[in-house]
Amino acid sequence: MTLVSGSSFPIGLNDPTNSASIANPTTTSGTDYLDETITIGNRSAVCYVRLRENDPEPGIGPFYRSYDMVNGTQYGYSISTGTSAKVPMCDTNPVISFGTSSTTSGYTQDFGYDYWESVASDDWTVLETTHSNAGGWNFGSGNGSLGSITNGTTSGVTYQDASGTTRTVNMIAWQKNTASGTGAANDTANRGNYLALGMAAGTNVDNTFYQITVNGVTFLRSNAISYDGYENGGGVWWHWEPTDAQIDSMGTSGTVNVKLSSASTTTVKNNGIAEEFGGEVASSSTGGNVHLSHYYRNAPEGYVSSNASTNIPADGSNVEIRFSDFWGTSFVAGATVHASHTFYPDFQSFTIYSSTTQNSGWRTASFAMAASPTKMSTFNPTGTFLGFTTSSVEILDFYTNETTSGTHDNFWTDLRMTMDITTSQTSSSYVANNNVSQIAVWSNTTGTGTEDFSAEWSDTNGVTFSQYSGKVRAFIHWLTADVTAGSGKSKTWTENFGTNTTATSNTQHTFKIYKSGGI
Amino acid sequence: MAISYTFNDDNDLVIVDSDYPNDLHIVYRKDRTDEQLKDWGKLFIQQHFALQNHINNTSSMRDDVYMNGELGRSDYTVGLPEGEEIVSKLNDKWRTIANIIDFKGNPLNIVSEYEPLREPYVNSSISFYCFDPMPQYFRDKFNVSNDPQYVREWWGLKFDKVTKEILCKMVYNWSGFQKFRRDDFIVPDFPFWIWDKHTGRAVSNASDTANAYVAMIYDENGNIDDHYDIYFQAPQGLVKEWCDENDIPFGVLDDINNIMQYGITVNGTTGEIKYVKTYKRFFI
Repeated sequence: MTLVSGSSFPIGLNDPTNSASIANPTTTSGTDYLDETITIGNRSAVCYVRLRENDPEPGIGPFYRSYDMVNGTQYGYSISTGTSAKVPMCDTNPVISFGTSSTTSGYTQDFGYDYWESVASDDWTVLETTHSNAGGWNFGSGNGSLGSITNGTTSGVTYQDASGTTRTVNMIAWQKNTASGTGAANDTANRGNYLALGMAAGTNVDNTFYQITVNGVTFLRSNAISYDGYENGGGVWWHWEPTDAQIDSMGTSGTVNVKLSSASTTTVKNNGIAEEFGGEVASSSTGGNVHLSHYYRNAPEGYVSSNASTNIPADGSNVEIRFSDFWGTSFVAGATVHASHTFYPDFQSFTIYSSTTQNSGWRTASFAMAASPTKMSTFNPTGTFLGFTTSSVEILDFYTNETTSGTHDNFWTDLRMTMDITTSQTSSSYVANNNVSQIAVWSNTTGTGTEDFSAEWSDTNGVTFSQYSGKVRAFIHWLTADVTAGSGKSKTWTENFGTNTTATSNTQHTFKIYKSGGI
Repeated sequence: MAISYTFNDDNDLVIVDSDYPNDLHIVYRKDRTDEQLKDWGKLFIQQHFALQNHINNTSSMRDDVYMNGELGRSDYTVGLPEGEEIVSKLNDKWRTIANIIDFKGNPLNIVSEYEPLREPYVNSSISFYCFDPMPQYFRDKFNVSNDPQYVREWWGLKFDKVTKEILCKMVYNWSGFQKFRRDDFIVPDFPFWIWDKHTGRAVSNASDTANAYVAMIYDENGNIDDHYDIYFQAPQGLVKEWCDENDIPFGVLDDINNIMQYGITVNGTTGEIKYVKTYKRFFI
């Protein structure tokens, strides 16, 4: 967890939740992918169905007529409609009057049509059938746009969804159904009411949006009555069935806010330092025997590890510790070490025909140096190490290197490490960075204070695994750019290991290989 | 034998050299393009080969030299029976020279007898390489420098058993080659992976340094022969790959054990690579 941040939250040494009945504060948050303002437009809108009455009298007919399934006033926002527009409702102004013309037009997959037609058809007589391809929407104001939205263009308003995909919204509209009589989709209280969301494209998943909110009224994507593509192609729509009250809340004029959002998450934050970092969390009756001084970073009590926020003063820094240092900080597990080894590094320079090589550090596997002691660490990593099941890893080499036919200067060019991993597995079992995180070097025997340099395992330039007689020999290689010098230190021969060819004349160094975390 | 370069699920480069089937090399992507990563991979395995290839000089060793996959000659340290026998021939036939230099003066010195398999050698000859500084007599005779800034720690003489003429083979670092080479010499394009990490520059005629050394041949008038040799270390597969890409004949050895280095014989006036030689070292 994390501690509260900001002066508006009380923070205690132990746990105010227990001692003063101050609950851990919670925050609820989500991401608004789209957050715009609609200037509400309105227009009359009818979703109709066209019927065919077969042979009402011998020799006469068939007759065609239409019924309103939904009518009333549509509110909200839409780009221009029409057959070429990629919006949920495609008004084609078909022939809808009673007569004998069989001309058909319209779209049976327009927004809402299928859902409402199944209700309206209950009113049909035995002679009536729904005429094929004859249904859809008709707007009293024609095919123009409806209202407007901030940042909108003629094709809609865009947002970036959770997957990073740009989406284009072209309609957010709502309507209360006032149709009645034959064919009206009004068998239940809210039937025919709708909230329509149209997009140029979009899949029906939470990544596209989790919920839509219009003027404070929220609908979950997963609760939509239907999701479909336009019959005339090119887009998709979602359909919800709001109550009359919800329609009223969404508004009929003026401006309203509209959001497409992710799911909300609730975060609980600690308000006690000991509660977050550990230590005695006492009840309100007993109190707690904890001291703020125990919570210096990397203090011997071990509550605040060296990996915790540097806002918390380091142990021994002589900086006064304050409650506010802990705002927004979190417990971070301390580093764990596979092996720590103290040794005298050696320096050597040798020419192998085409080039001269300089090494400083520790070599035993080849071109051995006279480093002391003669054997470096063997450790048991417990479980797997770099993907190999093993209980024994021996460090053979750890040295800075430069090979050149030119002149060596003050800086080494690469860092190399060789290990023998005892395993029955082959080289192909290798898994990068498995159970190892960092190496670090100090020019002292304690392995504390400012390190000379460190290198993340994940920053290695390359590795070679060579399999032989029950072992895999691992050659690890960092370029100088992959290695980080300690504060105020540099990556030079003299500062790293030293250049004396008598090992014991160089400063004793400590090397650590970390299982997790690091300095 | 071949080297395979593939990309794993993490898009890192995986290299397997069929000559070393137990070795798996992985070079990490680090924002490099595929082509850059492959170049880094070749450099990575060249360096790995050089760093793990222990080829110190000793007083008891034999170097075998292969030309296009066939054994051309064997060099022996002067303390070995084969070396002693060749030194006796030198002492017998070139007494003047033997009075100037003790062929066995340094136990690292190596000798061989060989047939002329390449220019400029035309007759059966004896080769002598010395690991002591070159005496003034020879520096004057062949008009060469022994400035340690430019020359390597060994040099050679080639004794023609028919004409009795002597050639000098001077061994230079790359800077020395650039300083003393003939102006008309053409240096062919090197493979990418023979470059100097120190400078980070690719090798070219103008480079001061390279992970290679060069030998030039001088006659007794101080003239430099058309042919010179460039030496470098690499796994065989990398050399084969480069030769194939540049239509250079190369004899692959089935037994890769003891391979020490490679030598390229170049016709300096044309830049043509005439031969690629494989050197093996055996400690006896």
